[in-house]
Amino acid sequence: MRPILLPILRRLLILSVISIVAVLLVSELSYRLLREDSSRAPKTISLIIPKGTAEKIAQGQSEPSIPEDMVFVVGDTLFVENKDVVDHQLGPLWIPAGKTASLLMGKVSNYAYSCSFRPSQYLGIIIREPVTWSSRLGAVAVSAPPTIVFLLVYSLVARPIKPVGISVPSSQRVGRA
Amino acid sequence: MKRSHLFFFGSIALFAIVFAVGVMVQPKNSPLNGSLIQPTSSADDFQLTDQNGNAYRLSAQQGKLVLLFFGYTHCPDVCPMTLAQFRNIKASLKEQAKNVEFVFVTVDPAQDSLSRMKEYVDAFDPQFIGLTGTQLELEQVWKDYGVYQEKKADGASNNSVDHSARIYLIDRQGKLLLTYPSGFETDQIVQDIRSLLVSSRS
Repeated sequence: MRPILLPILRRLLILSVISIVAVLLVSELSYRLLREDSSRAPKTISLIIPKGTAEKIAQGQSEPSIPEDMVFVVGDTLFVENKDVVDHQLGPLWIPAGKTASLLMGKVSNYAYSCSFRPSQYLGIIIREPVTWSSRLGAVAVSAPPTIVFLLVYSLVARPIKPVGISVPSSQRVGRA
Repeated sequence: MKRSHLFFFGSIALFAIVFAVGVMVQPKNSPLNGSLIQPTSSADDFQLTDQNGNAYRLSAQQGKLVLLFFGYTHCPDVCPMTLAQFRNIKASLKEQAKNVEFVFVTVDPAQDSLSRMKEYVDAFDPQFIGLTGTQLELEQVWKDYGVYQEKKADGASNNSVDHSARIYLIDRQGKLLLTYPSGFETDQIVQDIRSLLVSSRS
């Protein structure tokens, strides 16, 4: 290998480690400052519609405790079991009586759906990007390479590497008398 | 091994690890995208009249996937959008579309006559099925499929009907398997249909 490459590779390796650590720190700091409900891994969210729900709603009695807006992360599965004797609708799901329905929340979005549980007939569904260990590592993987390249270029400009082991004979040196 | 080689391969390995982590964290797809209904059971059967005046019985379609949608021909928004989506699904499926039936059932039998239904459905695709029937026949179908429909009495227009907008997918064995809310991604529906056509062939 040519002598000039050795110090460049050594510098590249050192800067790679520095960059990954720096990116990791910035990513972790911003995560701590900005994290919300979506800072969790996708999971299955199960709901049961009890028997007699439709009758209770028709009589104006209290509805099952479901928030006005349901917040999901991409990859969540909404699983609803309808134990009532009539069909129900819960946001994007239609659940026939005595059956279950499930839906994978596949992309980031905000929806307004009808809901047979509510006098307002409204249910908001908010789907956010999940922030998980893997997505945080993914962010580091995406941002580390350009940081390494940037630091390497900067360091080569700021502190150029001099070739090692090439000496110029005194007889060939050009200097002012 | 020379130190220079060690640095060279070390750098490459470090880059490879960083990129591999990025690739590994990509989300994985679920087998079916629509809302899965379980336990599956036979879709409620019905017999209505298609846009050509022929009797159409759902249970006679076994062997084909059926995409079912409830709407009305004077609908200004969700119905034409859904039929346009049906057309896109059919185009995406290409040769496989011969195993899929696209069915539109009216929620407004008073205005959706056979001739009106034919004109409307044919404008999207003459192979689509447009179904109508008597109020009594349709009320049973709406009930079986949990279809909400209510004529608007605002006086501004007597054509307007509020209705649920959901696509139902009935598999080749005649079982009601999936539903899709309005606005569901066309590509994901196509993906489900392809997956079901392949799995039911084997």
